[in-house]
Amino acid sequence: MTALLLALVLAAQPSPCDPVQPAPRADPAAAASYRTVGDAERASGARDTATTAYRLAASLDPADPDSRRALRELCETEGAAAVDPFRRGVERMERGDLREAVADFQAVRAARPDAPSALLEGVCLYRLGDDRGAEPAFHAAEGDPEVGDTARFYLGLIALRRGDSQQAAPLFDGLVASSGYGLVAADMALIARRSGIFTVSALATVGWNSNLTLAPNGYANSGAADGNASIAASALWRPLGESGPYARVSGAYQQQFSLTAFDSGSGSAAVGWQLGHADRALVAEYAYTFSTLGGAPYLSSNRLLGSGWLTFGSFTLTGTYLARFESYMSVYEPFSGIFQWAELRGAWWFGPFSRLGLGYQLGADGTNVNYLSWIEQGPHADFFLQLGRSFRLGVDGWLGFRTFGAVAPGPGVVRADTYLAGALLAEYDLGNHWTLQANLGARQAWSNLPQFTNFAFVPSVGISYLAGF
Amino acid sequence: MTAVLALLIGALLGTAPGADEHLLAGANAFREERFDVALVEFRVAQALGAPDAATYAATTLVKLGRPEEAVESFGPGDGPGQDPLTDYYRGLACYEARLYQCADRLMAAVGDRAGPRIAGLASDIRGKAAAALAGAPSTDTIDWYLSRCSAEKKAGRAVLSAAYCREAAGLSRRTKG
Repeated sequence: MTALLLALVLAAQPSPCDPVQPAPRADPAAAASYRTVGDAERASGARDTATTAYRLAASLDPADPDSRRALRELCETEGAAAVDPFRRGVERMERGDLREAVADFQAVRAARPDAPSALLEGVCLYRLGDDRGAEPAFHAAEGDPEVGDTARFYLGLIALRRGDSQQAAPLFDGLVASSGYGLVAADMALIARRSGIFTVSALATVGWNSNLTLAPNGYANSGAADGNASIAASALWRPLGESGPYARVSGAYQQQFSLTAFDSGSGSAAVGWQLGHADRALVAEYAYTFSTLGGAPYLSSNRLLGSGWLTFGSFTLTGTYLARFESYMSVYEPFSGIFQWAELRGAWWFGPFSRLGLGYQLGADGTNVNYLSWIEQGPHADFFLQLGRSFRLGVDGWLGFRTFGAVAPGPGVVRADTYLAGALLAEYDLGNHWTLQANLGARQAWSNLPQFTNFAFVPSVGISYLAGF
Repeated sequence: MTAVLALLIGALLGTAPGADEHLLAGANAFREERFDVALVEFRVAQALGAPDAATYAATTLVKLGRPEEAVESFGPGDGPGQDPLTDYYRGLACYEARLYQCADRLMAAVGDRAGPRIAGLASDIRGKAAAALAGAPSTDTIDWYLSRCSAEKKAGRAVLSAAYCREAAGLSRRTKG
């Protein structure tokens, strides 16, 4: 957008340095009139109109020395004019020198109201995270027919950042008919209605697992498959909006149709703080989770998580680390210990509707029993594609190499596994809050111990609800 | 914009000899959004005695983002005139020069006289002017208008100077009222 604006600015300004073509018929009297206007415009500091007038004068009277001299002087000072604040601001903005660019745009606006300068000043401040400073600048630009839509789009983004979905949604709605923002604005309006200071979500699914018990490949596993129904819900409170403290509670329960020993449930509460916004932020979070399996207590865990991301143009680099202190119960107690996991991920946006993510993950489970401990690492990739206003597709793939910590007592060797997992997700929005989901998941495990080589196919369909207040 | 052009072309009928071709050239340039050329042509037409050229130059100055000069070029007084489109551009010049009371008066006079699109734009400006005028004006604000009045008078822009003085007086009445 900034390149376009700069191009418009450059294209709109006649250069006093360009050669003047003589008119087909000389008219010294008319030339004198143009020269007079040129003198007046030049005296008032209007360089462009002065240039236009002098060029017309010189064209109509090639012998006129005054207009040519004036053009020569304007040409000689063009270098100085090239550093006019707006141009310099655009160049600095494109280099990423946002604070300096803001000063340039403010200098333009101090001289006269200028909507493009106001818009770009607002964009710079928005990128710097100074929403309070950006808002008045966008308000100054929103009435302009050329840049008003962009200004209103950014005002919507700012409202979204502070969790004010009531203000954000109408701003995006108003841009749905805009040629430049139609589909993106529709998306943002939807996001606005699904976010806010307080958000609630719920998901109900029906699914099937071809190998719930992880029966080894090649073994008769007709009893390993089972269907299930699940429900999950969560509530998130962010009193200061996107950037600031937050608290979340969530719960989930999955009921197996036959293998009820695998019925699972969990309840979780978390508090955290996000410092920053969608383009760059740091997050710290503590969460407590209690889980059941087969109707009996299964796991109590405390988790610490830190994450941060930085955006450079259409690329976002994200780093995440978590440590989970796990206390398993009953027969699962030997699995207790500390689980750690980290990922470094890069995501590229190809336009507003498709994104490719590539990452590398490292996990370590330090259990009380060393032969159950393991270290795992491997790549992860995901791709997201928005097709039209309501339909989204996602593909996810992961390859993991896991090595256990010690020789297992029975087999007499150190177990080593390789996992390949993939999923295809399709979502279709049913209005502002409801979404249909379909998920096709598959997971293959290979192990040097044959009993751990297995495959599972896990399809599911569901419906979710998400609303922000 | 076509309405502006119609006015411009209509004005050619009553133009001084020699000025008509410049008014026409200005109208063509205005239609092509070459506002720098349009301004030059209108200024030449004005110098040659075209009676309405100053108004068209003022409209072009609004397009060029030079609202203070536009206010000056529109001429003395800030009451509505015969042509609602001119009132709209004059009101826009006032708004951009921070003469919000002037803008409000002119935009109110535009009403539906210039069609629904201009009426909508005028209504938007009135809304923004009302927001700018909300609350009692501070002494600093009034002093700023008075200082602009004085500065423009010294610079020889009598119309703009008077407009700032009227704005200051109006704001002062709002303080008292």
